Amino acid sequence: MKPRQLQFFLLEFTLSLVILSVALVVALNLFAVSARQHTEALALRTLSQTLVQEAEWLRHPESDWDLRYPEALTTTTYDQKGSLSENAVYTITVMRTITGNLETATLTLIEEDTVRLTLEVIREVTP
Amino acid sequence: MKRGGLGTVFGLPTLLTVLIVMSVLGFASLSVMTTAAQHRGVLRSLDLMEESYAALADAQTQYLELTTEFEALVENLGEGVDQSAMITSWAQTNGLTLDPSTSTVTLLVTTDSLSVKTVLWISPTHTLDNVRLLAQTLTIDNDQDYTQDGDPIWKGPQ
Repeated sequence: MKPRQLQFFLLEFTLSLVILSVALVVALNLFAVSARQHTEALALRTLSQTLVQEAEWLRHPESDWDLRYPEALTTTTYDQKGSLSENAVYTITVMRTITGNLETATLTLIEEDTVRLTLEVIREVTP
Repeated sequence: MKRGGLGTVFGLPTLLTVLIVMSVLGFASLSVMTTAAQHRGVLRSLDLMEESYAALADAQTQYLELTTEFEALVENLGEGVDQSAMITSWAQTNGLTLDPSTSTVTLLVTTDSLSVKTVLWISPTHTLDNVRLLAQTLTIDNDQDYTQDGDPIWKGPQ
């Protein structure tokens, strides 16, 4: 191989390495975005399931609201993976109101500052 | 270029780089697209769930208001007195569908894509148990005609 050919080969090799490194960095970033979205979707799914379970419990005519939710507003916080934690990424609030003969509960799932799900449950006040 | 020696690998780094870059970026893009679709799916299901609870709450409120109104209307009637005329008038006033043969009243609450059908049985004669909730059905109106094939997932007993 002539020295000129070797120079071209080395230049090509170096350029290839640079391009490969850039591509790998971009790919790693894309995988990180993907992993973050996956975690978020899983957490949203788990917490929305929790919210629906609570809503169905509240909807049941024999549920004692005072027992599980003694306060008018109950707040529970969850971490990034949807586990109970004081480091709040997700927040579930349950607000109870009584208007006339109607008991209303509003359950809200909040992700940081975005409201993701609001469920409203209405039940007749049983004497 | 001469055959053999280092000369034959001239161009190989470029070729390998192109292949590696394409496959790595391809997998990464597919991964992002999959999780984005999954995320959108979860958000869409949350929207639908929220809408269904709102529709059910609305139907429940209307049902309770209507029954309270009806109970107030027939409050002074003696037990066993025929209240058919009152049922007809109450149903007409509130825009309810009355089926006199079965003494049932249907209340329909619709939102953008959902509808809640509440069927009530009203006693033709005045009793302590005047109104009974028979069924509450939530359906999704997706402009799809299921009347020919029935349920697209479960076609029922063949």
